[in-house]
Amino acid sequence: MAAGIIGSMLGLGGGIIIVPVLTLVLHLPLRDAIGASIVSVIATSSGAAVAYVRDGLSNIRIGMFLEVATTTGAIMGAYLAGVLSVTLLYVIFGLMLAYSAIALLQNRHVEIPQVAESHPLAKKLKMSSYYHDQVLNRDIQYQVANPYGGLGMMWAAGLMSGLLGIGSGLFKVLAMDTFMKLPLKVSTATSNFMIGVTAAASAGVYFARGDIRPTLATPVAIGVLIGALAGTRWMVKFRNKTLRYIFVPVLLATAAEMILRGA
Amino acid sequence: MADSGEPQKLERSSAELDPIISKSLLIGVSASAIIIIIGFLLYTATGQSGYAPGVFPVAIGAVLGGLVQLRPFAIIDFGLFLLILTPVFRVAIGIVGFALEGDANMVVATSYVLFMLILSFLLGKAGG
Repeated sequence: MAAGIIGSMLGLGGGIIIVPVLTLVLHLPLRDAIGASIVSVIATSSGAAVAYVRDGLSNIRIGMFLEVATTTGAIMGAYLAGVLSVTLLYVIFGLMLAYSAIALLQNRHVEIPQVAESHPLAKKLKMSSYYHDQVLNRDIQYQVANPYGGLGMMWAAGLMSGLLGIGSGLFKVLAMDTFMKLPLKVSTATSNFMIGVTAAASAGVYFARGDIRPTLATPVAIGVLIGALAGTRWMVKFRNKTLRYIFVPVLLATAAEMILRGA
Repeated sequence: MADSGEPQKLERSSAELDPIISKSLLIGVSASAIIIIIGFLLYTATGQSGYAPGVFPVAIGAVLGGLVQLRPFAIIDFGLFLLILTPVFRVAIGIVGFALEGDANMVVATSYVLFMLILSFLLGKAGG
């Protein structure tokens, strides 16, 4: 449930929480934990997106457009998995995350990023939109910058999930926050919307391999769904700045874990 | 509440498609949750999984076959299966939605995503 709450609030899959809890606390095999976390990602994503999409927090045009890059990256990653050095990748991705944590911290005073005019491609695809901010109690119109940078980062996110089988929600949020300059709430809600598709791409494999155990997946799926419903209610009540402060430690912890795994 | 300067600029990028996508996700999630819970209740009530200890169906055919016989683990797996397919369905619905809006660019982008998803399922099967 906690995984669902945090996952839906930050636009992550919750795998970051589920896998360590199942393996370290409950001493379950890693294979089963990863299988359960895939189910948890899809449950978080679909459960939270019901509210986020309805309320216009998830930008489905941006999400579906960027999924072109994530799915391509995921499939390439799955193929390159045997070729590239996984330990080196952990270090590279870990360093990228650490760098983004610094970028996020530098923007800590920004509630709504100001982008004067959308990029031509973003205009063509009608990406710019608005959402109603419950905290500021007004509609926030936003423009969309650098869709190509976003695509590149999304490709890296997909590659990472294909290669390492771990949640790429963090990278998705960063792509939209740092490159495309979307409000953080829109970035997390749109990432949330997208991770279900990334996870579904690998879920078929895990299911067929028998890594998704009914007895484990049931409590995880139901718990995460309940958590995701609560998370969506809370997230909209936070300031973008507050979300940023919750986000940075998660980012740093993940970066440290990845670098350590690689080293 | 709108920006006082240019209220006409305030436009939701997908005002028509949003509620449809939201509803389809709601249907997918609720249907799979209900099926998973029914399977789990049946399993705890009867104490029978419908399979030998440690065994559960993994192939689609086996899941559907077990479902017809109302084996609890097959019911749970069918629910999990629906859950996994929910994001795939919403991509497919996106294609139809963008097509109805006459947005060729988004139709191409979304179709490509669906193609990659189907490809990943096929590759996954081949890779074992």
